[in-house]
Amino acid sequence: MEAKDEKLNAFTKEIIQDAGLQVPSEDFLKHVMAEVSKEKVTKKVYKPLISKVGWMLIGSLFVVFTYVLTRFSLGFSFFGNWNLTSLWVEKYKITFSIPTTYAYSFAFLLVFVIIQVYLFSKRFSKSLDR
Amino acid sequence: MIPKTDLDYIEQIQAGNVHAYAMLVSRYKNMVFTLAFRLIKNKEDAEEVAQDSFIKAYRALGSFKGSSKFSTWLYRIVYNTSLDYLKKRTRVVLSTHIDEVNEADIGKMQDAMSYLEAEEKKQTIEKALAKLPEDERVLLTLFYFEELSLKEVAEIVGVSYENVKIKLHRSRKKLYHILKNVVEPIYLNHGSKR
Repeated sequence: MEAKDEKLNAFTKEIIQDAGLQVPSEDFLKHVMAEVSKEKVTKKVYKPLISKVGWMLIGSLFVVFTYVLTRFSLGFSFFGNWNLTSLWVEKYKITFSIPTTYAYSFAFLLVFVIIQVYLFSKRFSKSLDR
Repeated sequence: MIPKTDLDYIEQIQAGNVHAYAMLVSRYKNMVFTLAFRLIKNKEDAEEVAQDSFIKAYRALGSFKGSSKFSTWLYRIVYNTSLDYLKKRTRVVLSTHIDEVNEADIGKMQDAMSYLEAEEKKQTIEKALAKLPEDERVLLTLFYFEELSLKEVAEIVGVSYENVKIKLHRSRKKLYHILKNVVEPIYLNHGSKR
């Protein structure tokens, strides 16, 4: 079965190569160049969807938001708090805890954002490539 | 001297040198015209579509990023422009009955084809190709003449890799049967003379 397919494959290749290419009229190049000479190509400069300033703003807002939530939260949590004091902040005498609800919500949000950024960038680069 | 790549010319065009496009047109005009002709089956219309495709490609060069080969990108434009042209015309759906191919018969066919003169052979193959559906003619040309990968062919015609594989398998068999019907009488004729 495979040998037959191989043979048919080689035969088809030979046939298509033998058929060669068709040649357009002699004026073909002249016509195309006459048309395109009227126009000018300008290279598109790709701007990122979110600028550097935008990212800095998002980052700052995120830091502020996290600080306010952890520092001034009423301590409400479905699953209790993650007490990070004993881990690495103890020697600075800073008490620091994150409600687990917040940690889980943040983790889910992060996953969704990463997926969306990936999908958007793929979609945009595909549409710009056409 | 190292020959310039497509990207070298594209950079020149994007920098404002319109004449560099002539090099790309000269490099690809035969393949572009052949693809248009195999889809449209009329030389005058194919030439118009091929010219249109080059003009469209030129206009879009500003956004060409080089993530795929220029040729693949250009062939996709030709394929879509030709399909748009065909949409305006009534398309004739061709069907060919596909029988199983006998391994020994392939050898006989090769033998029979060798009796034909180069130009006669070219015309016979072109006639046989014309009896295949448009998309299959293009698939065979891209895969067997331009020797593009299945992935590149799939990218040009906008179907899946698996679909290209299946269609190629089918079109190989169809082309063989069409050629057999055309060439067998010639072979028998030559055989009886020997």
